[in-house]
Amino acid sequence: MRKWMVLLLTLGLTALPLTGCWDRREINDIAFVVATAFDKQEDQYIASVQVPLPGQMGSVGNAGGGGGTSGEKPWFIDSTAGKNIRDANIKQQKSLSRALYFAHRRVLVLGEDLSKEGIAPVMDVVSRVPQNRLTSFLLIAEGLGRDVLSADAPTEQFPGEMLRELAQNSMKRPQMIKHVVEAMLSDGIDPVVPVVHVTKTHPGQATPSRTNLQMSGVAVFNGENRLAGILYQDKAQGLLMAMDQSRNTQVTVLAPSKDGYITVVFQENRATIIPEIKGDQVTMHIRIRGKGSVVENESTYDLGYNGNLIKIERLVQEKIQSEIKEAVEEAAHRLHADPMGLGLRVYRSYTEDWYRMKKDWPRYLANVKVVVEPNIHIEHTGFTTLPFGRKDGEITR
Amino acid sequence: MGKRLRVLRNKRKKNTKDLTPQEQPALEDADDTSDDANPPSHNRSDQRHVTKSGAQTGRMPNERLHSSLDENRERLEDLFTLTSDVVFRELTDGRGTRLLLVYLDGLINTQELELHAIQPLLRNTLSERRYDDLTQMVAEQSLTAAQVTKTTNLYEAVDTILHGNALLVIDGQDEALLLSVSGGTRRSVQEPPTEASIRGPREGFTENLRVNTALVRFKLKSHLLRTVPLTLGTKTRTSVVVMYLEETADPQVIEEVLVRLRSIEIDGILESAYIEELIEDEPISPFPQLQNTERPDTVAAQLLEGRFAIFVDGTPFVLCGPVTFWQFLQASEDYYERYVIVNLIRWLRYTFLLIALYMPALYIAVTTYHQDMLPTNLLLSVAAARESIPFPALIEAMLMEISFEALREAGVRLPKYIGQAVSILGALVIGQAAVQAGIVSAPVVIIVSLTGIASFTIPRYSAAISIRMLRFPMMLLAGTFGLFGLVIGTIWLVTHLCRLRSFGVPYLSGVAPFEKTSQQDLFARLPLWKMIFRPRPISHFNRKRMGEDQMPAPPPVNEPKEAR
Repeated sequence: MRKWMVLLLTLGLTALPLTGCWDRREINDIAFVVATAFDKQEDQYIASVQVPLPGQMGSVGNAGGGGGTSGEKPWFIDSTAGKNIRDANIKQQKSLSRALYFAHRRVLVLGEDLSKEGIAPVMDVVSRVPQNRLTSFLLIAEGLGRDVLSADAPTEQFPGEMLRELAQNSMKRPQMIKHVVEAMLSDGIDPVVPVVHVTKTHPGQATPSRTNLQMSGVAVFNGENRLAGILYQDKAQGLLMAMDQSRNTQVTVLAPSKDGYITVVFQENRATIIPEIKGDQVTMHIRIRGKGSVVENESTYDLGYNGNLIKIERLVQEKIQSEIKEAVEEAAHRLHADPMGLGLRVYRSYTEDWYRMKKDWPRYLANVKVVVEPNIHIEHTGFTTLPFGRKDGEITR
Repeated sequence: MGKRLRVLRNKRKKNTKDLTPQEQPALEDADDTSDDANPPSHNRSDQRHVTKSGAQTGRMPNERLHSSLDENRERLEDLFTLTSDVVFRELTDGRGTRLLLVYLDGLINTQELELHAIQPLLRNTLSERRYDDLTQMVAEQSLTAAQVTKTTNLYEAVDTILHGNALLVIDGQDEALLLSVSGGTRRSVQEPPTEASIRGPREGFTENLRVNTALVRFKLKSHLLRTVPLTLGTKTRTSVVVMYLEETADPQVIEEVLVRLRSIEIDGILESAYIEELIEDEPISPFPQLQNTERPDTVAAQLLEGRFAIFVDGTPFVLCGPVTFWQFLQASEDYYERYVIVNLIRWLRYTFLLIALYMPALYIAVTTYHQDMLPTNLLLSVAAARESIPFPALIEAMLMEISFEALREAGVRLPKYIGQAVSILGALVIGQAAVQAGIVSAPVVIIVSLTGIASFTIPRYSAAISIRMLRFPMMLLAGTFGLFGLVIGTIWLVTHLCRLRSFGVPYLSGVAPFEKTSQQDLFARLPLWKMIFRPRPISHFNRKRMGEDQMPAPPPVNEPKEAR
């Protein structure tokens, strides 16, 4: 019995080396793709990959390794055209000694042109292979996605990392591929993706200007998952507030004394959307609740005096009201997009009506009435109540 | 459990049948004794003739002492031919009776012999009138030595001389007296060097068996403490004592221990490890199935939990059993420090046990198969460090682990002064030069040192070393199959541990099979006042060890009601 066991064990053990290590991949034979950009030019897709070069990263372990300042950038970007994304990648692989490895792709940038044609076709490639992560952040580039990848991004080791950090801070729930696809597949809600563009730094005359990245707004998609338009600045913030996605919301209003501006930052803001249907008229009530504090008071206005803070609160509310109204109306009326998920809320509250309206939803959306009901509370004014650095006589009450 | 024990014993008996016919009679004889509950007595055998083979197998030939002193002396001198350390001292007392003292120089306390045997014998005049038995009279009236026994067997006399006693032969008597005046120089009681502790008793066992048993006696002043003597080794005649607490230990286990010990046939026992290897349940397992300790308090605690201890003369290491796996992760200080801190440290040990076993294997698996499992930034750091390394991760890690083991091995045996040089050399060569030269990467050095430190956090050296050895197969598995291989290795390991037993007690007792009352001292050590019962797997007799409601609290405040 024991002999048989030993024999069996030996046979089993000798079978081990026969299998080999077929999927063994040493770490220095892999090109880790940290960011990709997809663009479309005429009929061709252009796939760009960003690969960090570990040899150039100047780690401590590398004796005599160049370090970050040797002039060579510690990353590598290449783009190839192909019939589809994989086709392009396979072509690209032919000029790479290391295997492209997409498991560490953390940012996917889509070019403006491609987005306008629709993002549905390229979503397949990021989900079909298990190597891909659905937790990669999605960004839309103004212009070519490739240009965004090749910006200098001096504050991080490579632009992909900077893009990731920017995307992460863009919303309360940053838009990952899985969120975008979820929005694409659901009725009554359309995807919203942050927009990034390339800027130039302004360091003065002595040093040359370098390219940097900036979040410029939000891209709004319509029901066919095509880029409908981009909202910038206050409108972008307004839309995000309506979606309950705005982070670090800030509002600057002219002080009642008319001699300077006051900036309020919200620690907390929540939005609730309540649909109301009367016949064919859809009304969207957006209730905003927020708590903020004053971070700068440029004017001479005394916030600590009697009811002054309430006056500021009222000003902030008005400002927010108009910001949101403008943004939502632009998205709904002009772009025929529903990033707030109004349709979804109609479906939940007025299911019968939704089935009636579903077919013609963009038309209803174009006529939707937007009512913003802000409820803003400024909790404190910072360390100083009086405007700092002003004499008593200068202060307006 | 009883069934299991019986099976084991039968296996042993069957094995003896396979031996060559030459050896068979002796072994069968040994088996007879082992079935007997009594310790082996020296004059059981009926062999009249003295043969050399008889002496070799450890049986005591039955040659009686002569009544003539001269003949006895001749016989003894014959047995101790060319033996320079044997002393024959002849005396004549006042009445002219000739006496002979025989002892081995260096093994006895000469001063004591002089004071308690030679002086009283020379002063006294022995009269035959009052006693028929002269030997009895000498023993009762003349000798002031504390322990005196009688013998008629020449070989027993020789045996006791070899054990450090003095033999007193009286002319005309065929009985001799054995005087226990053992002495000789042995190490004194010192702090145990292998099991140092911050808080706890500082005394450790010595090489002297009697001192060792006394050290435990000092702690356990109970008449229920049994010390069963045995003599093992045909040449070394090593004294062995099995200690246990009657009514606490499982009698079946004790019986099994004695059976296994008595079935040992070997020429010499130089360390308790010899016995450990000969009585284990699973001899080819990498895991130790008996615990060795140098600390009397550890032995006392084990006895109180119903375990047995095997003391071997000539070594400070005492064996304890039956053991469970968890015991090797517990130090005596676990019970001497505050339990909150102890729990924290115990969890640290469990974590580092896993690190010691898996860390290098995990590194290999992740860097060669599962690069997607590391956070991107960490992966890029590792990739940057490995960029110029010429070896695959497996070879790299193996290289470093083997060098570490070699360094450790070199450091253990070297004298202290050279040992330091080794550690400096090792730190420089392994820690720095290898990395700078680009032979190995810095992460591997970190992992190897972490693993090394992790293996030192396991309190018991015998368990630590088996864990350390087991990580090599783990690394190979990780190198060939990645995490899948690690899982295979773990399954093998856990299966093995599950079927392992130490004297019938499952190795993973408490967890597999699950036992509720064992949980008090397994993953967490409860405060002492919560551990009211002894762990069941070791012994289910008299399990209650303390009163209920022992949790201390300030006395209740008496509110003065009527006083106001």
